[in-house]
Amino acid sequence: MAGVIELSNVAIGFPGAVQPVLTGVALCLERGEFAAIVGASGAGKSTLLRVVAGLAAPARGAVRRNVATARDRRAIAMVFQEARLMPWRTVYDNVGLGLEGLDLPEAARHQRITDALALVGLGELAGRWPRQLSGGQRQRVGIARALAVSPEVLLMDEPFSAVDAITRQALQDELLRIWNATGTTILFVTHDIEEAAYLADRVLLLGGTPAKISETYVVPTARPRSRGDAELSGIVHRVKADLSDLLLDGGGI
Amino acid sequence: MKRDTLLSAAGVAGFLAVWEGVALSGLVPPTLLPAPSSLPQVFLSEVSLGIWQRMVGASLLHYSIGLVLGSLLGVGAGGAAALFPRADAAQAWVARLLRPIPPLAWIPFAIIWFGISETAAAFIIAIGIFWINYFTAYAAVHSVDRELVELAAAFGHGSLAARLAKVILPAAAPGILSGLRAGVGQGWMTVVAAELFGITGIGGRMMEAAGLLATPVVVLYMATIAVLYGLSDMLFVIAQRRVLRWQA
Repeated sequence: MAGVIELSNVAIGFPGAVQPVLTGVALCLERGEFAAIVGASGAGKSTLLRVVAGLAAPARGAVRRNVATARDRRAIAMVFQEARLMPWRTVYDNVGLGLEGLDLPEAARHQRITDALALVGLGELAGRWPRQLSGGQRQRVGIARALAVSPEVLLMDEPFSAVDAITRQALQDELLRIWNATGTTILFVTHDIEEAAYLADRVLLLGGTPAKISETYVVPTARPRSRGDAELSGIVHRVKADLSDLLLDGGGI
Repeated sequence: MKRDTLLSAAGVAGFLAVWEGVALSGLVPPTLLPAPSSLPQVFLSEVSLGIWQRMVGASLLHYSIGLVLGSLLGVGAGGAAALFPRADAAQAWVARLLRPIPPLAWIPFAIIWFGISETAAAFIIAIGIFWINYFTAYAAVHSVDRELVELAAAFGHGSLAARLAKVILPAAAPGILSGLRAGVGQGWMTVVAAELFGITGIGGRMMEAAGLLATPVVVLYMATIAVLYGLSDMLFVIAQRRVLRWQA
């Protein structure tokens, strides 16, 4: 069966730059899986995600999105590193952003927004302005906004890197619960290797100059996982060792 | 806060008292400095003759036409310049060339093009308002957060119309509104000057009265302008607060 997202031999460059940032990237995302991409900062993780989302075009190669087009949902949704809420919209209207323009009756729209807010535990705050929220709450709104369009694929770009450690753990567990409940395919970019191993079925290491997916680690650990799990720690160590090798080889940190 | 309000009120009272004192002292002839206490009577006589209403009505008309035209064109052109790189490049030098010309410098051409007419007055008022809005709208649209534009695209709002409606206009609203507000004020500043060359309105009446040394009438219309400015600014701020209630 074909993957839901397939990248073959994709090269991505910045406009005007001679050297591509990423080259020869091949990636096949299985339906329903939770995949994490790790790599040093500047390795092109976010750029790769933007290409998968269709927000940027690859310089070479093919991006295939085997997703159904429907009039009442969006196939791909994205969660950004910063919550990126529109300050002039209430929490409710921020979550509804992706539903505008879809063929959805008002009652169904309301239901989707309410469900998405309930899923991230923010049902009470629907009427608030973004400035009245904490960093963790804002990030939850960003996740609810992505969930509201009931995407087949959820792309997440270091979504928890800007929140404190306690909130981050809570959000990680919440995300796993949501993933379980919705069955969405998730591609999750992070620089936090522990986070990647804890969350994902597969961890993809992005590295080198220009970068490509240099290693893939399958995380067999059964769910629910515990953060101190020895098997997870083993994977984390392997990824860290490979990452530092890459950095030494590439000569750059 | 309350004490500040009291002090401000006291300041006005003090200002009027000093003015009245100097005027009554006889140090200055009444034609040079009419006393504020003479104004209510002048006001009543102008109103009973129907002149005040007619002049205010005429000025309001010039002002409104100039305000609407100048604001719409200014926001539209400034916003478009910020939105499209080619339009931006094309306008850059033209704007820099035309902008320093004060609205009043257009009076000769206003008369040549439109005659001594309402249109001429509205045109001059519009010019001043146009440039204010042009530059504030340009800056406001230019500084719209690119990340929000990308966000909108990620959620299906990538077309120009959707970008405008979902991101650019609301994000630029605070800047655009501050320009509109400055234009609301600037309009009253130019309305008098635009009418001074004989167009019916507050400015025309002031010119007429000054020619007859009827200085209390001049002061009455100066005060009228101040009140109209204050009122329109107050109404604008109320509307602005409503639109921007999402701000802290």
